[in-house]
Parts: sequence; structure tokens; C-alpha cells
Amino acid sequence: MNILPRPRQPGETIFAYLLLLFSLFVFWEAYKISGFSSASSAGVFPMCAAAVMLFASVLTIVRTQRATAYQREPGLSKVRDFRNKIVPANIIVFVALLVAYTIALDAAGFLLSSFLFLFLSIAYLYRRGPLVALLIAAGGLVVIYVVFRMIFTVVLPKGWLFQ
Amino acid sequence: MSADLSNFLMVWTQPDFFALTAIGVFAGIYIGAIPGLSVTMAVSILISFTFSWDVNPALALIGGIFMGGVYGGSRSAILLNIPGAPSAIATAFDGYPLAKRGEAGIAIGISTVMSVVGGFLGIVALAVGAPAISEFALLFAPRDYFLLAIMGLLLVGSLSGESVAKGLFAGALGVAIGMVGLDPMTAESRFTFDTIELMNGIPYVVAMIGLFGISEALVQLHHLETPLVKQDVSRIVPPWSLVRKYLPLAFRSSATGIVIGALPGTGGDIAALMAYDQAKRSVKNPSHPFGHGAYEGLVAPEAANNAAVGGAFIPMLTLGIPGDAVTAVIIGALYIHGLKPGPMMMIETPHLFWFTVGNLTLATIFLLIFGLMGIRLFVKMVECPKGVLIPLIVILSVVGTYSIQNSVVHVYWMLGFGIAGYFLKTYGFEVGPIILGMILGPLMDASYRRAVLSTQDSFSLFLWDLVSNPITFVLAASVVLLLLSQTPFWRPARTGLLRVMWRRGGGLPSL
Amino acid sequence: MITRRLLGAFFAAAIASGPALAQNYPERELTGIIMWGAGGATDVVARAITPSAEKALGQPIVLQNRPGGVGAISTAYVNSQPADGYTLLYGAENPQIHKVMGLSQIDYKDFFPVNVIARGIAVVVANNNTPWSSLKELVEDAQKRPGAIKMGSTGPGGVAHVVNTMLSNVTPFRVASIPFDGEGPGITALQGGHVDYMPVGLSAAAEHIKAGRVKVLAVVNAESLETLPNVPPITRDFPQFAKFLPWGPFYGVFVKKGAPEAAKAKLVEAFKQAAGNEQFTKMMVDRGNVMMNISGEEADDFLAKYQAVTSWTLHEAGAAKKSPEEFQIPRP
Repeated sequence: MNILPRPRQPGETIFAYLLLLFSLFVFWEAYKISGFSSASSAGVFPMCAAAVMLFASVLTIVRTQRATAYQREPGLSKVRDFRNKIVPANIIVFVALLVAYTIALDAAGFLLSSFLFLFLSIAYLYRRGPLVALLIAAGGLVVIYVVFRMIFTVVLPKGWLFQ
Repeated sequence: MSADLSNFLMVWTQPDFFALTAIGVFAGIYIGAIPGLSVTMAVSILISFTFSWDVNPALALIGGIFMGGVYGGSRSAILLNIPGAPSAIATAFDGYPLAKRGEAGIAIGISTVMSVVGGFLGIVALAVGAPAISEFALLFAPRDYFLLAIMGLLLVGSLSGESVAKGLFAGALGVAIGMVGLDPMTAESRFTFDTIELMNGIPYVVAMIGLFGISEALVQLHHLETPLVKQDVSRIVPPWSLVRKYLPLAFRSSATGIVIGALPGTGGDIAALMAYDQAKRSVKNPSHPFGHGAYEGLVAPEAANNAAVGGAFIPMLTLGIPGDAVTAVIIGALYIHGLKPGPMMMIETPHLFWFTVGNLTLATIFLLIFGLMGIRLFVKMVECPKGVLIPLIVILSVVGTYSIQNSVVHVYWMLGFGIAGYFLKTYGFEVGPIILGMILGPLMDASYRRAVLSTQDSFSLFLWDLVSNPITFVLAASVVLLLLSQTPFWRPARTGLLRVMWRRGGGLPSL
Repeated sequence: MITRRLLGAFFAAAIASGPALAQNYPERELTGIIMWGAGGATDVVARAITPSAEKALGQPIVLQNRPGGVGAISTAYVNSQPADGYTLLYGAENPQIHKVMGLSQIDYKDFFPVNVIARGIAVVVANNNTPWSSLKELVEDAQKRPGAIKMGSTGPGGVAHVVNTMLSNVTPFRVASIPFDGEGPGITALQGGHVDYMPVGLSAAAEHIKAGRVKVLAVVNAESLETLPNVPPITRDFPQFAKFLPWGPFYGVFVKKGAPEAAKAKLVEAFKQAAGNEQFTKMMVDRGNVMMNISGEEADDFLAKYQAVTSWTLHEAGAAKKSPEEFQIPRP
């Protein structure tokens, strides 16, 4: 069995163990569907899939542990390293915006929540000042709204706050 | 004969039919390019819209949308790594790496030309061999669909990325996600956790948008500062020498597309994936390694998915049996227009067959024209600064996901898939096998169980069936051969290659 | 003091404007929720009847497919909307067995039937190479070789499953049931010889019967059909089957119970007119349906009978998860 063709990334070992746990959970849920009752029961394929996942995640753990560790900058903790390399500030802020956006979608409706999301994320990522972000957000949203709502008559979430 | 010819030429000679076909193709390309808007949905909306029309203009419009929509998915797959339609999933594997190298223009050009080639071959098969092919398609028993699904799943081997174990994990995860919902055979709940939102399962387009679109957006956040790739738009129409070089591959892929399209229950998405797999196994010296921008990786799926259009019409027009999801909706549309789709349709309304052939031919010509138009504008879109492009991709992904079934819950899942996909990609997993598992898992599950039920739950009788019937035997032998041929040699070669790539490129593999 | 008076005035206005609003119904566009996905039978019926209903109402109906949970997602959604008559449900027969199948607590009792448009008739079709010339021969063969004959079905609660259960309730016999994704794929497999017979809605089988690609053994109805004059009704061989009839899938339009009377009246009138549309009727009959075009109490009786017959049949066959008694569904 070959080792990884690249150095191990921060957090990779933990991730591999998480996958193993997840596979165990899937296997248990699959077993609960119909056990080992017959060759054509509803649980056969879910259990097969979970078994393959288990097998593959064990292999992945072995291979990950054999890989050469990623060279940390001296003096950096593992957590810090994970933060820098895998989830830098950009990612954390953007994911937070994404989560806030999808939650707001149901309540505030498509237009308002999308506008706020576009404005804030463009302001944060593009950094050309709020006015530029405002203009791009408004322009982009108008185009999307016209194309989807007007031309393709796609129904967009209305939101229950302002009904 | 002359009646057939005049029916064939009807769309070409009547200005309104001609215009409707053109409008259909044009609209279809954009419906296809936008993830979440599907041809099935568009045709369904047209049912109300064209209720008071005659049947011919309605069909002209629908045929155009079908042809354009199957092709349109390649646009967003190449430019943004978000397949606009399920049939373009395989196109993203090599199309997006090409765009990253600044070759989006030629990638779209090749896709267009090969889609047109595939489209024509599908129509030829429809015109020449329809009755024979549809009788052949009926012979496929559940066990044969099971074997076909396995063949498709073997593609996991070629999509695994840096390790087979990771590819297997992703593929099996996809199969497990594909099982979510009420079991269609026994109505037992599988992985539903007693929520009604999960009863109908997770549509794979939801996972596709999250895993390809959102996770790619997150990966791109690492590269905000890297200068944008300048897209080369000097050459868009591929030179004849290039087209000729890939014609043999396009012919083989189209043959796959026609057969898979004609089989009831499988359509362009599976056809494109299987053609990609075949190309990857059979092409010895691709222009670049597969997965890193091989032209062959565009030729195969794009020829196959448009060839599947003609293929899907074969059982529909001859027997009234839909070849895929879109032709199933078209059958509904025909009923509304007072026709009776079925085996008698060729006898009762004989004009329809040649009318459709003529319509599809015209649509394919328009596909070539519209497909090569406006590429420059499209390509410039990805040159827009990432800080603006990424938020806009998110909005598109949300609209696309919501419009599948008007469900906000799907948007949450899409986001979940996006975040999970980001970590999977970061740690060297490919997301392609997940989608593959989601598409083929349910087909494999249902057809395996139908096959075993047909033998009264006896597994040994099921195994006997695998060798006792000609079609099944050929399929079973191919599966065994494919398995044998790929295991021993495959791994060292692949790992070696990746090591080279890693050393050259450095940093995180973003795909 | 002032606030109280203001509130009072507000309520008075609200009460006064309530009926007034309903009088002018519909003032804005309506939403139509379709229980099944694009291209399904319910979808086609909904999209075909809507243009004429829109004309009669004078307002557009924006259609949305909300499939899932064998229809439970759509009933839950419409039930969660205000009972103002602005959200319509285009549904099929499925919710009537949701209670006994343990899928949902909502069925058509929670809705007002604007129109039960049409019902389908089931037939029993068989592969041309099978030796049977009547349903009786098929059943006798199945009794001789239990489990050897393959029946195509569409899963628990589907037409094939229910008809077969009813039949084995009349004469016990056992076959291997092989579920497909729908009636279309089932008939396809039947023609390929991968299953031997299948009880199926006439709409899905009519054209294949006409072309002679499958043979039809019986009509699941009390008398023969005009369109299939030579095919005997199921009651010829099995007279006891009559207690289940008429039975078959159906399509209808519903609003949440408690919608304003004026809105209900307007909707009933509009859909009565739309279902009577000549082009629509022709399409429905061509697809092997029997037009019903009933509403209100008449429709409620039909829905109740369907629910009682089907729930108890499934329960007695052991296919139901819960007893119909739990939900006060009377024994037919």
C-alpha cells in the first residue's frame, strides 16, 4: 500500500477518523432498515455501501498516518496551523455569511436576503468600497431577478416576514 | 416516400416552425447552462403555455429546447465547474481544467462541434433503425440494468484522484445518499430519520450544485489574490484537423449515447458518464492526462449526451415508451394535444415521425450556429474579479437549488454539501464519484432487487441468469473484464503521475 | 383608551372587510401546488385544466410541483398556508391511504374538494406469450404454482398492489410481485417478458392494448367498457369483487378546509366549467379516464368510500402499518 503522494495536511488525520465514525453510523442506520432478512431487502445496498465506506475509511486512515507530516512553521500550534492553512479568515467569514443568508432566505424572502448577502460579501471580498459593492449587488440582483422571475417564471422564496 | 420527405421538410419550409425551433434551441442552451433549470421543467411549463396551439408548433419548440438544453449544460461546467445539467457532469472533469489554463474558448468550441456530431448521429440512428433498436431495448431485463449500473460505477476507479480508497469512499457515500428516502419498492424508510422532507430522497442536482459549485467557490477563496487567468479567445472554432482527429472517438461515444438513450430509464447523464469512462480506458495518448484538461474528455461526453437525444426518441416514437425523463414529459404533452403516444402512433399519425426527425435535424444545425455565437462574451464572464464572481455563483446556486422543487430545505442541504465538499476536496477526495454513486446507486439497487425477486429471492438462480442469456452474458463478461484489466496496473501508474503533478504545481490540489 | 378604541376600529374594519374581500375573490394571482413531479399524470392533468380555470376565474394560477413523501409534502404545505382560497392543491388518490401507511396525518378530510375531475379504470394486462386467456385461468395457474408467476407492480399502495390484494381477498393465491418505478416502466418490462402480468391504470396501457402488444384479461369495473367491448369485467369471473367497485385512481383540485364560502363557490364554478372543456374532456377520455366533474358533498362521499375500501383492503392483507380503526375509517 502506497503512502500519500503528497505531505499530510493539517487536520487530515482527524478528518479521516471522523469519516470512519460517520461510516459506522451509516452502517448502523443501514442495518436498522431491514437487517439481514433476505437477498432482496431494502437494506442490502445501503449496508453494502456502508461496508465499502468503512473499508475505505480504514485504508485512508492507514495511508494518512504513513504520509510525511506537513512541515509546520516553527512555534505554531496545530490548531493555529489548521486555521491558517485550511480555514483562513476568508473562509470563516464567507461561510458565516452563507449560513446567515440561507437562514434569512426563508424569513426575509429572496430579494432582501440576496441583496444583503451580495452587498456584504462583495464588500468583504472585493474591497473597492461600499458604493461599488452596492452598485454591483443591485445590478447583479436585477439581472438575476429579471432572468429567473420574469423570463423563466421561476418562483422564488417570498419570505413570511413581510406577507 | 414523398410524404415522408415533405413531413421531414415541414419545419424547414414553414417560417413559424422554423422560428420556433430556433427560439427553442436558443432558450434551451440557457436553460441548460443554468444549474437547476432543467429541460424537464421547461417542457412541463410549456404544456400549459402551448395548450391552445396545434401539436406541430409545440413539438418544434420542445424539440429545440431538448437539443439546446442537453448541450447548454457544458457551458457552466467548463467555465465555472458547475454542470448546468446532469448530462454535463462528465464535461466538467476536463472542461474546467481547460478553462483554468485559459483555454475555455477552444473547450466550448470543441464541445459545440462534438455535440452537433453526436446530435446528428443520434438522429440518423432514429431515422434508420428506430423499430429494430426499440425492440432490442425491450430485451434488457432488470439484471441487465444492474450490470450496466455496475459498469458505470467502475468509473469510480478512473475518477478516484490520489487514491483508490478515497474514490471508493466517495462512490459508496454517493450510493448511500442515493438510498435516502422511501424505498420505491417496499416503501420502507431508509435514512429518513422520520422527517417528511427526506422521504422523497435528496435530488442529485442538489448535491451536484453544492459539491461542484459552492465547494469550488470556497476553494477559490484561497486564490483571491492570484491574478486572473487570461482566456485565449483567438481560436474558438476548432480547426478541421482537430475535429477529424476526434471523429472516431465521437462516433464510438455517440454509439454509446444512442443505446443508453434508447434504453427506457437511462438518459444523457448516464450516457455521458459511460462514454467518458470508455474514452479514458481506450484513448492511449490524450492531449493532456484525463482530468487535467484532455480534449478527449470533452469529446466523449458531449457527443454521447446529444446522441442520446435521438436515442431517447427511438422507443418514444415507435412504442410510446419514454427513453428518458424528458421524453416522458413530451409524451404528456402529446396527450394534451390530442395525440395518443403508443405503438399505434406511427400508424395513426405517421407524419409525426418524419416531422420530429426534420425538427431535430434543424435544431442540431441551429445548435452549431448558436453554440459558436457569443462564446467570447461568455468566456469574459469568468474574467470578472473573483470577489464579485464568487458571491454571484452562490446566488445562482441558491436559485437553481430552490427551483428544483421549490424547497428551502434543499437550499440548506446544498450548502451542507458545499461545505462538506470543501473539506473532502482539501483532503484529496474527488467529488465526482459521489454524484456518480447518487445517479447509479438507485438504478443498481432497484434493478438488482427486481432481478432477485424474479428468481423468487434465490441468489444462486440470479447468478445462473447472469450466464444463461446472451445480452446478460455479454454484459457480465464485460464487467468481469473491466474489473480484471484495471486493478493490477492501474494504481502505480496513477500515483506516480500525481506525485509529478504535486511537485510541479505545489500547494493544495484545488480539484 | 385611545389604543383600545383604535384596536376596536381596527377589528371592526377587519370583520367588515373579511366578507367584502371574499366577495371580490379572486383579487390576486393564485398558487397551484401539484402533488407529483413534472411529467407525471397528475402534472399533466393539472397543467391541462388550469388554462380554462384561469379564464373563468379571471386571475392567473401559478403552478408549482412539490413532489415528495408519496404526496405528503404537498398536503402538508397547502395545509400550512392560510385558508383564504388562494392556494390550490392538485392531487391524486395517494393521501387517502397516508394515515394507514403511517406517512402523514393529513388526508382529504382536511380539504374541501373543489372538483374531483376524473377517475381512472384499472385493467389486468398480460404478456402475449403467456398461456392465459382469462383472469380465471391466471389465478388457477397461480394457485397451482405459488410464487412462480411474476406480477409487475408499482410498490405498496399502488394500483397493481391494491387490485391484486383485493383479488387474493376474493380467492387466495400467491405470485412474485416485482415493483417498478411506475406503470410505464412496468408495462415496458411486461412487453420484454420480464414480468408475466400487471394490473394497471387503463391510461397507461390503452395504446399498447390497441396495438396488440399486450393482451388484456379483465377490466376492474362492474361492466365492460365502450372502448374495450370484448374484455369481460372482473366481476364475470369473480362476482364477489363487486363489493370493492367502483375503484380506481383519481385526480382532483382541493383547497384547505375553512376557506371563505364565496371563494369556494367561485372555485367550484370555475373548475366545473374548466373540467367540462371539450378539448380537456377528450384528452382525459382518450387517456382511459372516466370524467366525474363532481364537487362538494358528492365528492366527499366518493373520497370517503375510496378511503374506506382501500384502507381496509390493505389492512386485511397486512400491508398497512396502522389499523383504519385508529382513524375512525368505517369498514366498507
